[in-house]
Amino acid sequence: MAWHPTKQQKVAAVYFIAGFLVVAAIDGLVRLMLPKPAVLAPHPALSKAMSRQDVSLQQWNQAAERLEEKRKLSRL
Amino acid sequence: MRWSIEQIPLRFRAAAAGVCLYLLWPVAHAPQWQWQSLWQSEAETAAALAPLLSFYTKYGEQALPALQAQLELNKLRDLELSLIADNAEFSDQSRDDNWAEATEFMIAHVAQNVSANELRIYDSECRNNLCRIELAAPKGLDAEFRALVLNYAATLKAGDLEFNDLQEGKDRIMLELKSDKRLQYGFFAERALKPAEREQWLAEVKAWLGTQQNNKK
Repeated sequence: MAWHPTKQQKVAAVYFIAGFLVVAAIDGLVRLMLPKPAVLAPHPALSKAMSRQDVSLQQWNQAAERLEEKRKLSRL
Repeated sequence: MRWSIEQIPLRFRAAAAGVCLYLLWPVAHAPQWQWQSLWQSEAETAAALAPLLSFYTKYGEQALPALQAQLELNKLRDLELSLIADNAEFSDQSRDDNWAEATEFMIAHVAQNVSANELRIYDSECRNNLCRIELAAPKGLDAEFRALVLNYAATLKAGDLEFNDLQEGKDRIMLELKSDKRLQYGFFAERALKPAEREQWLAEVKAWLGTQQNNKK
């Protein structure tokens, strides 16, 4: 016999999704409200890539510097 | 009356589960660099971004995958450095059985053969990359005994054990030696240090370096 959710289970599922969406909305708002450096404005691709990584500006710079070093070493 | 989670209505429990699911989602938080802009002025942020922007201006969008990959590799390196710092002291280390047993054997062997049985080992213990040897020194660290210990340490150095510390006790000295072998970590730390994507990140950096070389030719 096929399983049918009870009304209580359906309400619980709606609350589960609502809980998820409410926090997602708060998180989205925080992201929108947090200032973005103006110098990033002309570089949307970089800004988008940066938003995927939860690291500090210093860690971004270290990665760029390390890549530059590797490029110099590979040319030797 | 005992409290039970079922006293909380199901709909509230379901909502809390939904909230938890979102919060445990790895992409659910604004990135740290964006929070930094809260306490840094625009000029400070621009200065802090300068090396990254000059790199991006020089190499453009095609460098972004390599940049992301290098960032992940740097995170792995930082994790390894923090694990090395956590294992800096002998008391913090767990035992790497294979290496420790072989090294303890070598320590005993060297003491017997190199110092012609003049050194008496009370105890020796190796852990992950550190070894502690308790040597009997009934007369303290006099010139003769010092020469003996130095000769012993020099022989062990040839076997990849560098002198790290020496503590003088009442009738004994404690010699601590360090190997430059890679530290052995627990299952979860090893797994975090070598994720499946690591090879992919290395390949992306390598591919970008290759492209750069071709552009130069």
